[in-house]
Amino acid sequence: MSQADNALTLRYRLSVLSRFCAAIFGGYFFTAYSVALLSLLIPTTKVDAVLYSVCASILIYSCIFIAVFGVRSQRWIWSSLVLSILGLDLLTRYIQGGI
Amino acid sequence: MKESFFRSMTWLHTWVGLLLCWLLFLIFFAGTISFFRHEISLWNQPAVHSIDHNKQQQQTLIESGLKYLDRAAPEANRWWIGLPSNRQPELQVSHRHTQGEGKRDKWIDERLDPNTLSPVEGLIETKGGNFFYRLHFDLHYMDRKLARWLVCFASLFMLIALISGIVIHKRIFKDLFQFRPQKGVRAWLDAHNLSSVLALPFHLMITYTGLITLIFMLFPNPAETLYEDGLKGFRADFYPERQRIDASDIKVNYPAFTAAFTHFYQNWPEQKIKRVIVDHPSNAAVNIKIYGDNGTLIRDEYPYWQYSGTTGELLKTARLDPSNAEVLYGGMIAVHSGRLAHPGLRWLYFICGIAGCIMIASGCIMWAKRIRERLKPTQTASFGLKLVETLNVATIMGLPLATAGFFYANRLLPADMVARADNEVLTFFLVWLATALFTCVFRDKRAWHWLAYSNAVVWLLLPVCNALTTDGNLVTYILDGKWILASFDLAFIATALVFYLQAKKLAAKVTVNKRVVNKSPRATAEQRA
Repeated sequence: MSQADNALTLRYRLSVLSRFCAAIFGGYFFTAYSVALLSLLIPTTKVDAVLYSVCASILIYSCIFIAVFGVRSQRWIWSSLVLSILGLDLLTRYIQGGI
Repeated sequence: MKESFFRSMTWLHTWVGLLLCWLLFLIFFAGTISFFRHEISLWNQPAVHSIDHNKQQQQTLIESGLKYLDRAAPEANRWWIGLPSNRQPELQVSHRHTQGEGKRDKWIDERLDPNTLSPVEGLIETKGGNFFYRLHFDLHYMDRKLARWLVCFASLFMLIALISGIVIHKRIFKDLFQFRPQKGVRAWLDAHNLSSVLALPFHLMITYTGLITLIFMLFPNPAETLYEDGLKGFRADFYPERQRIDASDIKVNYPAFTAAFTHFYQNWPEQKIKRVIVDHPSNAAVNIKIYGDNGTLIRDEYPYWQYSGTTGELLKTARLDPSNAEVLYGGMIAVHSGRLAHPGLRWLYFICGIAGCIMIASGCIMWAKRIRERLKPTQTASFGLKLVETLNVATIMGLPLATAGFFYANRLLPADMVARADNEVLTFFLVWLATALFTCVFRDKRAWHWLAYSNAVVWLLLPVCNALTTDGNLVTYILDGKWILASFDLAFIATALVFYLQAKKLAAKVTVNKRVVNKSPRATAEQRA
């Protein structure tokens, strides 16, 4: 924190904003797409699959949130988030037979 | 994002902790109080204080309730009977009426004395404990959906702050036994650690499961993936009892209650009943819905039986044998709401909730203290620091004062006042607003000091106010064995005592500060700034 006090430059502020966006929105969409896929993969009744996946969602969300602040490179964070969300979406559609 | 993972987590802990901490304090505070939701509703309604413990059989109560509703509201489209419990002594009978095209149906709630089966007289309009219950996830005076999203984000931040807090806490076990009062920020840090670590499982549990209670708003995606009509389809599967039943044109005299209940009592003789609902009691679409009581089971949704009201035949059941997933999900919500708790466990819930409030409060106080300690004598406090300090006092000292205001309003507002319940709530918010304004004017130690004294006086006088405005008082409650009401008076006195001790402690500090201040005029200016 002492470092932050010394250098509250615009660049620093923007990077904090970007990280919070990645954690909140990136994390949200990553979780949303991954629990959607998860619900398709759990071999049980539809109701149970939905319940298991929503129960896991907060765990996934908080892991992503922590990871976003733990990883150093912002470029890596954003690219891996976007790519994995795309991947999850494609896989979900593939399993559903949409592709 | 910093040089090491450890430092990143320290940074993250500070900022996710601080950003929404006042909203979180409100959620924790109101949530903690709502563990005693029904008890507060009882306290707020002096007319039901005199109801003796229910001596009637459940079967008799249901029969009398149904007969009462048949006389009082034959044209209603739904009857609702809630059976008395240790926490709610009265028999609740409600009926819902159609209001014509485009209008929402209207509920009329009545309460019967279970021993005499006549309506309780002298009821006042009050929200009771439901106010705090709603406040902790719907907030107030704002759009419900927006409020719930805000609460979800605050809770997520809380969860992140907890996890990062555990990561940065290298000496988690050692700190359990460490408290160093009289050491400035160090004492606050110890208070923060102590309240966090001691009740850590509770904090993690309550935050995670709190998010789970709103999970279908946050993540409807699994349901949308598996069901063509999304959440609607899922709900139809998961809550068969909530399916809408359309009215019929054919009239029915009195539904086949005897046949239905005889079948129920024969097949599930041990089952306690929580509530009975009758849909369309006056026409051929009549359905009798029985909800079982979960008691102390870790379950949220009630087991359910639905009977035809024309033939008395069992139509469907739900959750008599829940699947593992239902147990997991329902269990999470059950441990959050704590409906399963007996008085002892309920107090433990309450104490852990208070620990959560202390954790949040000490966290935001510590932030402000650290920044202020780092200020050089020539520097003035930044806007951010002043904002945090003001919000700290206004929230931490204001909410208890406002709560006391709510209790006073309940006893002192005229019984026949228009919109009485809303005015009780208004009092709560006006007191809070007044505290906030007061804090804006006196932002230093004096605000803490004076508000602590006000809180002590106000809470101490509550039992007196209660004794003067109702028939009972602490002594009669203890003599009559009315432990819920006695606990209220004792809890009020205990709260007053805590605030008194705090005020005394702060008074000592204020004098010390004055002495220091008198020595250097420049510091005096700084103190006021």
